[in-house]
Amino acid sequence: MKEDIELHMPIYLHVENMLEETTILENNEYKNVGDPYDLGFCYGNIIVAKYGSSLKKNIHKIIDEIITFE
Amino acid sequence: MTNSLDKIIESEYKKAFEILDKYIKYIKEEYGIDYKIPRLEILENTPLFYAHYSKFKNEIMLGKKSIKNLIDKQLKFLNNKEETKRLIYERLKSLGYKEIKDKDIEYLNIKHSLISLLYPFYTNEINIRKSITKYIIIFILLHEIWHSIDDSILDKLDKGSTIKDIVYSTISNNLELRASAFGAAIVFFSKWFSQR
Repeated sequence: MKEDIELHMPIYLHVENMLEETTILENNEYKNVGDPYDLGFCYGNIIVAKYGSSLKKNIHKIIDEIITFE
Repeated sequence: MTNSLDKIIESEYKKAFEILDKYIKYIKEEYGIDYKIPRLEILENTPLFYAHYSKFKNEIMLGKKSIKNLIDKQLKFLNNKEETKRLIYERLKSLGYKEIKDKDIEYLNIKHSLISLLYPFYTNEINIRKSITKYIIIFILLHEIWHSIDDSILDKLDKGSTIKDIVYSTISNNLELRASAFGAAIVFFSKWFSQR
């Protein structure tokens, strides 16, 4: 459990950053101005935030989401 | 550094496919693609890019000079440890954490065109350069490996096959976005963390 906390703290911190940045990007009509690398990092981290501790359990679903991303 | 960087790249390349083995099997079975693991090519003097996937050669090329520069930049960033800690602690506190354990965790400062992000990674205190190098390499490799997977999907669509509801242009218009998303997500939940 202790290890989980230590691992998840920086992840949540990171996700928090990403979600904020995503909002900024969206407000700036990111599809027209955003760098695809940035958006990809945001998207990947939103996935991390979305699934939280059940990431491993949902691995196939996550892969499907990335493959079918529009 | 040159020889040790080669060894780290080769080792992380092998590790990346060990991590991805079962996921690649899933993608092959679920989406019916013909995927072949790309070869690795380490380039000595290519300052223009960190890495590139060549569909023609089915090869992932890593530019050693660029990667070395990136590692040096990150090490400089980590020298400002107290400032980094302060920023991180403030954020963690705002998220409700009372006690902060930062043992063996460091942060990469990755600058993109619009944003600058801190990426957590586990360190080996004895050799922080090696730790940071491994993290950067695995991150870059996962990105390029996804390009190779996307190319296999596009190949199948190109030959007139259908894959669920996937449209060719949806993939081809979002190649970098998809690869970055994959890298960012996988690096967090892969076995890579537990193998440090």
